[in-house]
Amino acid sequence: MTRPTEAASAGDGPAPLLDVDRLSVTFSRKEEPPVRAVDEVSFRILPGQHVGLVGESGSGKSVTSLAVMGLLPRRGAHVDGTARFQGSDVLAMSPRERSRLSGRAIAMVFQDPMTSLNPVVPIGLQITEVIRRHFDVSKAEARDRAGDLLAKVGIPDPARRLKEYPHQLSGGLRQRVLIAIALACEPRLLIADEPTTALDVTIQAQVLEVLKELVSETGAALLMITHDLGVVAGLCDEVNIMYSGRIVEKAPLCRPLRPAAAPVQRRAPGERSPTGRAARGPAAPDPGIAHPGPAVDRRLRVLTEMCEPNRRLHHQPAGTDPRGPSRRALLPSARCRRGEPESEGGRPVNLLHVRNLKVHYPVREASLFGRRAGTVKAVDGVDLDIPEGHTLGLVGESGCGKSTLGKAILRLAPVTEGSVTFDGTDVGGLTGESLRRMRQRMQMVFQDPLASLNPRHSVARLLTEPLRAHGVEFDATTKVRELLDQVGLPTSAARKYPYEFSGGQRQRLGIARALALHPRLIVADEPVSALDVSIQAQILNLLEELQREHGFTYLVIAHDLAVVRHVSHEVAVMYLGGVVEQAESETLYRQPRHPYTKALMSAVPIPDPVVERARERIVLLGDPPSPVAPPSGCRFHTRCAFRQTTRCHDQRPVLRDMGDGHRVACHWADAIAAGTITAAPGPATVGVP
Amino acid sequence: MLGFVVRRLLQLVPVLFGLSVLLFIWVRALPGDPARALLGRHATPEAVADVRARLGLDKSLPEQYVAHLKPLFSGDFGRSISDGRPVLESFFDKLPATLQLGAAALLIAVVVGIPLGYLAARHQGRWPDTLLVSGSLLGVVTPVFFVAILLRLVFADWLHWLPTGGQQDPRIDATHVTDFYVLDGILTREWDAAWDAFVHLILPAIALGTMAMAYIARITRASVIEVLGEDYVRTARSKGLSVMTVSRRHVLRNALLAVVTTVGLMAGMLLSGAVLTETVFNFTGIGHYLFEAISTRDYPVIEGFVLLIAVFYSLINLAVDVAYGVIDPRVRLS
Repeated sequence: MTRPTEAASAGDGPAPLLDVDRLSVTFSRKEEPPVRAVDEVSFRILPGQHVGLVGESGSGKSVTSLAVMGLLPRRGAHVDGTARFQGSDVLAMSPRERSRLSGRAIAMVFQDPMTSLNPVVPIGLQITEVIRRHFDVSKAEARDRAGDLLAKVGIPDPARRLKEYPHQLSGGLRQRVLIAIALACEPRLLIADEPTTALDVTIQAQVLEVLKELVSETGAALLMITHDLGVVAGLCDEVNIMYSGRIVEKAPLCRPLRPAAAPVQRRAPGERSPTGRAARGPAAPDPGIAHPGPAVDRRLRVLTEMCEPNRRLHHQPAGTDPRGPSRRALLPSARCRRGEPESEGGRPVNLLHVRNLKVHYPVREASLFGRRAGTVKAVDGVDLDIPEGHTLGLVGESGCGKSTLGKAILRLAPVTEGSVTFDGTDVGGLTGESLRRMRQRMQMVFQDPLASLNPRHSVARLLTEPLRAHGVEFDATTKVRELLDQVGLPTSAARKYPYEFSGGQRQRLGIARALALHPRLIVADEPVSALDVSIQAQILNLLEELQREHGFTYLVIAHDLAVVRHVSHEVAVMYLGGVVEQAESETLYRQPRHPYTKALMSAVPIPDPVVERARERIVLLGDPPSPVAPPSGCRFHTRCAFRQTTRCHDQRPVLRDMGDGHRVACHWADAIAAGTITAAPGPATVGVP
Repeated sequence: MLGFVVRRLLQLVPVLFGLSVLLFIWVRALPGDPARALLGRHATPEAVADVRARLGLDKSLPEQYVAHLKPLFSGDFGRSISDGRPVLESFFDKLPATLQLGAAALLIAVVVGIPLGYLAARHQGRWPDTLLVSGSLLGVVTPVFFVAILLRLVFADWLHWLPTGGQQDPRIDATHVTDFYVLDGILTREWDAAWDAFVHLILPAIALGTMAMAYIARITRASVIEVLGEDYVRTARSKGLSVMTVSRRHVLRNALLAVVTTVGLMAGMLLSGAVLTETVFNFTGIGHYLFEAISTRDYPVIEGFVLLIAVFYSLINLAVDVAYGVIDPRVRLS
């Protein structure tokens, strides 16, 4: 079953396990032009080889994998080309033939662990059903095997877990279960579609570790689909970059993933590249790399934008950066050019002043008369100061209380204790009209731009709504034009509706709405996490530009360390309701002092196979503890690699200034910095040679 | 769970109180007069006044309200004006027939509605779907009494395939144990009686079940379409499971959660529909009795029956909520 055209170029190597040849997928709907999501994509995977398929959303990478798995909708999706698995074309198979292959020889791990498991079926059955489908074993045998699998993917107490339902497990554990399901029948090929994208960065590190271990243990080949080159760098032998439905770059990963040192052309603001259309020129003769000419530009752009954010995170010795200039240097909006309003006789004037802020929610027990069962300490004693015109970045993993803190500052969440002072006024004491007036001065930019814009309102109405709500007199036409202009959208946008815009443009609208009342403080809660990496930079630049122009003060909340670094003067790291470290942005990223910050930064993969594979990583064990029953003493001590006996367990550390305003809440920060305390060589640290 | 049930039962108290007040006002706002209804059109004004005084209808409304509360608390809900029997006794007398009818209707609705809805969802946008969507719309909008009269006209009056009404042929001397006639026939092994009761049940059950069936089919369809798009169904397919396993374990089990909740609401629909169906088919259940009571302005019966039906409806919905908590592991009742 060898094909004459490609057999020669395959050389003398082993026969490929999966040979995808000119695979195209076209989606057609009634009354709409067909969309070619995948356009003549060809790649091969050798037995045991790890191949990455990398691209932004809409590049066709997931559709490619779904086509190979036969999981595309039967109607509306037209698949062309071949995908030979061990010699036979899976695309031509009958559903029955294919179902014998799926789950057995080819298995898949999906992106979102929260939705990929059946909520009403116990985990055990979800694993055993695939085993019993493909192997003739008894229920008890399948159950034993499922238990072994759970143990292998690092889920403690497998016997109990088998009886549990998905909602009883955290996201990280659920993704482990999905990996267990995929590996249950020891497939020859594992397709992992963004397996860690929905997870927090420290959990991502754990799951990648498990995946890496098990794949090499079983000798399966791996097709890793991701938007994150860092993930691929640590895991794959070869990478294919997809853009707009085509593979624009193929590279073996023996050298660093780095774009050539060419000037990078940036996309126009607010613009997003169109996804592939059916109407395309004739196919390039070499199906390997399509359109070699213009593709070079494109792939440079894609590669640069995708490589950048995580690379910037990692500290380089002596200021020499062998991996090219950072994005900051390329951008006109570098922070050094920003106005410097902070110094007024050396002392910054704080616009926002937060002291010992606590937000506690009661949890009711699900029993007779719903007694109060406990308290979620979402925010538990936080002090923050933001000088006027400055940006404070607030970073932490999901559930650390960062969003609640942001809301509490705006009085959108109930404050249990502590004070928020804005421009000299205690926000906590305000009610009625005075609170309304204060809210004009504090606005919020939300995470999901589509969900937070009323789909039935025109842009003009959306943007002027805050003005109407606060009874401000305005001239609608001028005001809307002015606001659109500020966020770089054309005046013609005023009559449109939110669905007519791309993700980045919608977030511009969200920002414009926040600007309408001329606020002084803007709280941006995950302003770019719903956007593609290349669009993220545009939005962050816009925020910076607006700050330069109007002197806004920002509180930027994000889980993404790179995002926060990009915009912040100062960064605070939160863990379980408290700030564990706070410092000037560059200082913090160059020299994280708190063990949690170290772990957080270490968990972000670097898009450079050499560095990524050589560096020592700190992989935190387990999930963050519940904020209902936080650990005693230092909240982080249960997962800390530097934990010392008694003190960490007994005494809660406070933020201490270690010089230069670098504040750390760790008893042993000095000793760790001096190297007298090193990470325990226990299971908490995994050194990857 | 127990706490949940207790709390829900306690919540019922104010609801029933409010309902009793509304009923009291509403019943007296009806045109007509129980005394006149009792005595007939040709009764002398003196006789009517005499009966009114005997029934306490000559007193002021607040006085009447207080007088009407007494039997409610004494537990027998008062006596019927027309036949003099205690209301509570009549209710439990008639209840089995209605329950039997309602259960049969619900059974038809579920057994036919769910597969139809599932079928339509699997063929979304094609002819089986179009047919079901339009057909079920017809089922939802057609009034119960219209369906009942039509069925009776065609299958009983014209074709003589099925009896025109009643619960059982009065010529059959059946032993009654539970007052569920079909069940009684089976328990006592009087097969003729069981069969006859069953035959009498067919048309009323279809008439009453049609609307519920249409609802269930529509909800099943919508719910299955939603579940088919869920990630976990894709996961199940990626395992290479048989179509049967994917449908049963992964699609239907989740889709039916939505259907279960509507069954509680369906109970209300069935109870109100029973009043009309029983009247058309002369089926002597609570609906039929209530209908009679309304025509004769039998205040205690109307009030008592509606209250008891409300209690019953609440209990069914409580049972549905509890069942939901059992079926869906994510739901913790509180």
